[in-house]
Amino acid sequence: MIEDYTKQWQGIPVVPYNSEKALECPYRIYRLAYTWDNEEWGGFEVQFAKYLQDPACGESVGLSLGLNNDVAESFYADSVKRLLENKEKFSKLRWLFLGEMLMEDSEMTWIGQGDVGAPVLDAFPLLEELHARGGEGYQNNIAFTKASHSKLKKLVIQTAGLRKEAFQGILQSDFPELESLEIWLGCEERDADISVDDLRDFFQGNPFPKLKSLGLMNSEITNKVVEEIVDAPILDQLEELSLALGTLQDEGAKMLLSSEKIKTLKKLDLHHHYMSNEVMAQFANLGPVVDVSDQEEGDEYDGTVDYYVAVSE
Amino acid sequence: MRFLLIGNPENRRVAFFLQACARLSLPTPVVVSWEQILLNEGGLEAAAKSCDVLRIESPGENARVDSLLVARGGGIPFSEEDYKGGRIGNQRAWYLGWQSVLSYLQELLGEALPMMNSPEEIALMFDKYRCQNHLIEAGVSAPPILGLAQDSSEVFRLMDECHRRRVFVKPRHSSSASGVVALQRQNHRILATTSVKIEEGGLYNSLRMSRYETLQEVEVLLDLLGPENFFVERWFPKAVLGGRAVDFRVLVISGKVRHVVARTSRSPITNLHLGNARGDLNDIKKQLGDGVWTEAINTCEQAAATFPKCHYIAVDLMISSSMESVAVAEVNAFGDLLPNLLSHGQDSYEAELATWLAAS
Repeated sequence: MIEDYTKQWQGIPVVPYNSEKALECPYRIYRLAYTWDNEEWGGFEVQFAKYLQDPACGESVGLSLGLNNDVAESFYADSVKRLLENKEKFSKLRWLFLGEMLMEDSEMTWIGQGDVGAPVLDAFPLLEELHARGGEGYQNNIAFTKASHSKLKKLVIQTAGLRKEAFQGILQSDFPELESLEIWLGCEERDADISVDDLRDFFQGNPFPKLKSLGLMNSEITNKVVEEIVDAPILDQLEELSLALGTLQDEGAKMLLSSEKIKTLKKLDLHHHYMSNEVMAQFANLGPVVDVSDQEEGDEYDGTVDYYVAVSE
Repeated sequence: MRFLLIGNPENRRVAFFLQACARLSLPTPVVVSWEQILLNEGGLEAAAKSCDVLRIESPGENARVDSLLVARGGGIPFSEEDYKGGRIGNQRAWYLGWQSVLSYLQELLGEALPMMNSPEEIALMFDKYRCQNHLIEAGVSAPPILGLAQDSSEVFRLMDECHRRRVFVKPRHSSSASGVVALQRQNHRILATTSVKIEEGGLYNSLRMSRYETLQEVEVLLDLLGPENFFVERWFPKAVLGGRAVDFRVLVISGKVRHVVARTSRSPITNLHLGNARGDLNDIKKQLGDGVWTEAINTCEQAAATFPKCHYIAVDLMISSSMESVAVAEVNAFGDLLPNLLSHGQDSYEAELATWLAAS
């Protein structure tokens, strides 16, 4: 579940952009978004032009791009491309969120995305955190061309349908400083096509030397993810693991419970799961701080039970 | 002061009101049933003579009364099976019957008794289209209406003309969230979220949300709903807290906001009947901030002021996703059934009575 808009980054408040007011960069980070309250919005293009004209624009340390229009299908073309065209005005950017929308702004899978890899990372050499949300159908899914970036510490990709090419693009990238990686895998219905083999290769030969926190979330194959990760070398360097928003059931949970490596984690996030009460309770004494909130029930229909990821729409 | 209460005697609303009267040491109200009135069994005038004030209670949750209202409005009531199964339809006939019996009450008792809630204003609240226009014209913040529609093609035409691809389609006459459709469209995708279930032979209310994602299904849905009349309004993006959309049921009594319930939902339709949860009001208020909450209170009281002949009304209030503005989703004549919720130590019925007594 996507909880809320970003409120702050490293103590800097993230606030809605209001073109009537002067920018307070670097003391504020702005979210440019069409909302009920700015009917005079006139499209992302208009608002962004005003943002660029403000003398403080060049001091932006962060930027969030939200709903671009009444619907978000052209988000990447409207917003991300424009940002990239003006990259020289954002040379101090350290935090970037592409597609910061909640369900009331747009269904997540209706946000038209594009390549958030090299084209974005090459444009902002000081970037420390990149968040991208959405992916709409086969053509507008999140893509990720492999990149090299010496500052990136955190990468967050939230989608309902991650493509194999994008996943491999991330893994082939050179991110020597990357500490935190959050990837939503999604479901087949939304074109997710990452296989267990892809995951196994990653877990056995993790390319990110400083990685401490890993999230493989919103996944239709959480139990299989667990099976591959419980004894994998990648756990030796991790402090935090999240399998939240997915489809974890008792079979996967038991593998987690009996894994020695899992016990050494500091945090394990399993919220939104399909475990039984009995199995859920066993996590209390495991060692790491475990989040088992948001217990879901499978959806029974015509004799079969379906288990859904948290965000498939 | 003795109340004449018109309602369904078996309903808990009547029981709650009687209990509140007893707690305030008022004489036991005289209860006249809707069924009795709709069957023209008389007795209303005589009852009125022995009472000092009229209170009109909901005719809902009673199959017999619903059938009588539909028949009075020129419709053919559903079979018992359809009724119990939650079949959707007859909303227009129901409303016409309801409007007719309300005007009958106004005519018969308008001069004879002071009224806690006026039949005319109750009727206005049951015509959601007219009511929303009434609020907008009075300057109360509410989602703009794109227009009335009777089938899917009219809905799509309105969306195109107004360049809106996210709208709410609302039945002109219905109770709770029955028949409300949250509709979104972009080039090759469509999504309707609603509690309406399409089944062979018709539409039914469900306690679960359904999602319709093909044009064909959405057309069936809207075309079947259409004959009952609906209107299309701009989608008001609601504040989302902790991953759940929030809105409020606000009871305004004698011009002042009293009982407030925060409702939260993972779907765009935040109605309490649909398995959604009450939120922690204090916590939510804190997250919203004082400014927008003050505006929320003012807007509810402003909405209530446009119904000067109703001692109490319930306002469903929304706060925008950016938490900068508020809008009224709808107003309800009988939205005061809020069991176990106290304001200054009074439940909704006691608060209505106490303020009424203080003013008279």
